[in-house]
Amino acid sequence: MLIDLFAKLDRLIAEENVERRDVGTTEIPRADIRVVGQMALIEAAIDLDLAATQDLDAFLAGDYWIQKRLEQLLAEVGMTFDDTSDLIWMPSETEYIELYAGRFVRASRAKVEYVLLSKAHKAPRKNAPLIIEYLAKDPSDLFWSLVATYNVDLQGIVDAE
Amino acid sequence: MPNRKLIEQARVRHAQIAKEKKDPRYLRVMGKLIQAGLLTHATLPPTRKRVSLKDALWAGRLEPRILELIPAIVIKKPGLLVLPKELPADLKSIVAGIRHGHSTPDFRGIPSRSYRQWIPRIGHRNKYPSCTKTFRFSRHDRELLEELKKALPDHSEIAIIRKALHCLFRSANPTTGDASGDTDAPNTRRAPE
Repeated sequence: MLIDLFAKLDRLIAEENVERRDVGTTEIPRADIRVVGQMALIEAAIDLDLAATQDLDAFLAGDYWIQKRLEQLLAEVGMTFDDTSDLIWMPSETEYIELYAGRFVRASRAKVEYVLLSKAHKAPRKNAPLIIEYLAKDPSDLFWSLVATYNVDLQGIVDAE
Repeated sequence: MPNRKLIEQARVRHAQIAKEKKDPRYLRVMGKLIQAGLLTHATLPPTRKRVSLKDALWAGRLEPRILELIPAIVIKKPGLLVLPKELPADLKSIVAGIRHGHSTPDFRGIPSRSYRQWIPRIGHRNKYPSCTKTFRFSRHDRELLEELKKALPDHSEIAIIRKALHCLFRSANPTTGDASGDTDAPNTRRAPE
């Protein structure tokens, strides 16, 4: 679903830039959108029981015009853009996987290990059932190495539930 | 390196959680919130039937995003849930705090920022609950208000007072913009939702 939405956003920017070129104003530069949070997990189609609230957490590097259009496109499918997304903590070494690469929009999602590490590190209680399920399904070595690097108390999460 | 002991413990706990997620209370609550457009889930179907707050709080142990939505639902869309005559003490105090614009503690493990973000997003969009404040007006104040009402016939008294407050705020803070923003903006890095 997000890929279609980003493609639509790309077309809107292209149309807007044609108009701007005609009237001689500054064109909208290319935007980079990095999806994190629950939507990154859903897009990854990971085998976890995922419920999600209707908001998109994403780091958006681009013109404010793009954010407003993205908000409108999300609203059309009953979603909202979390405009405090820039406050989300992600490990500095987070790797992103490309979702869409258009003329004006490049979108990617964080790899699941980094999203789950962020959730376990910053909001362990809220995400405890999800982290436990992930642990039960034998996490990757990357996740274990991130847990060691950031000293995340997984035992505390399992014991608290 | 993988902690095998921890994985085994997680498997036992996950099996318990998975079993509890088959409980009709969980399925009803999730279905209701999906039907209301507040949650999404790949496999669970929406349901129309109203659910009780008690069941929602129980289901929130299994899916904390339910707990995240509850304070905003109670304030902005109470019809979604069958509410008891008396709210649980922690929820009651949080609801009162939000209504009166006070800071509020975590709600059963959900940070204040996480549940408060839903207040403007549920029910009437971008609206926070209004609350009662009592002031004594002098005769002159009342005359001014009457005059303004005549001059602005489309405006109620409270609309005039709100407008005056916003004008005063803007003139005192020329670079801040509107006064209607959320003053509970977080100032620390957080987890993704």
